[in-house]
Amino acid sequence: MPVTRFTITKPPPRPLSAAETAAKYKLPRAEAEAVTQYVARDILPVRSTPSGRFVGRSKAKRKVAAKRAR
Amino acid sequence: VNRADVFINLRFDRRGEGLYLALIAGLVGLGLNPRCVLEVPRSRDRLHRIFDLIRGCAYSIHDLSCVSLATAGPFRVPRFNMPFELGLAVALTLAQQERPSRPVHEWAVFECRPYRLVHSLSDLNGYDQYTHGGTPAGILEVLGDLFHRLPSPPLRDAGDLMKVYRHLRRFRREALRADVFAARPFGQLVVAAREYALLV
Repeated sequence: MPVTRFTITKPPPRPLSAAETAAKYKLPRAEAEAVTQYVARDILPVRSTPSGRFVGRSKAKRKVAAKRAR
Repeated sequence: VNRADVFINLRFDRRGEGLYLALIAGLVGLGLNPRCVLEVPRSRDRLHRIFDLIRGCAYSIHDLSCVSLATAGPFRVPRFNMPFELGLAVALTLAQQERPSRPVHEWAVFECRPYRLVHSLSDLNGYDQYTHGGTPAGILEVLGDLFHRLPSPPLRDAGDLMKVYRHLRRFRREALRADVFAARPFGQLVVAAREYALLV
């Protein structure tokens, strides 16, 4: 079935930043920062720290990396 | 009216969680702001607030794929909230079309199977339904199609939107509590999707 797309008569404004998004959705600053930190940690590849810990990505991926290192 | 706000109307339960996350990931990836009834507190004037929320959005998306007979509870009735909110959006558009100087609210109906809408809501015969097959990938595909005319969105490629969705799904699993269908987790998901959309 062919579909009708939205006409978009006026382009939307530029996308909000994460801080502006948090304010729009009435998210407390501490919670918004926790989300930002989680994402920053998650998006990085898994790497080992000098202390032997694995950081970054998901818990599952950290477990896999630790197992491989053993 | 905020030209970047999109009202999303779908079933808020575990079965619809994948579609909920895909809608958030897709809309944020396209540079838009998903809005939904979860932001509206439960109070006596809830209906007014829902209508105001829809009126403040340039677009609305109504996923009727999960409208079915209840399997639990004393009555085997479908939930009418979603078709009801679609009705509000359609009424808003019809009223605005009488005054062409004002921007007109645009709405779209999502379904999981082709021609299901023809049987469930024949008043909308002649209007297109967007069929997503009940999958997050399908949702992202139809979102890309629906907003095809958006000038220079941050992400357009379905593969990039899928990456945002996958990250968001992991964020939901690892960082949020069991219930994601509330105002706070909804805001957290939108902020996380915004961050992921910048980084993928």
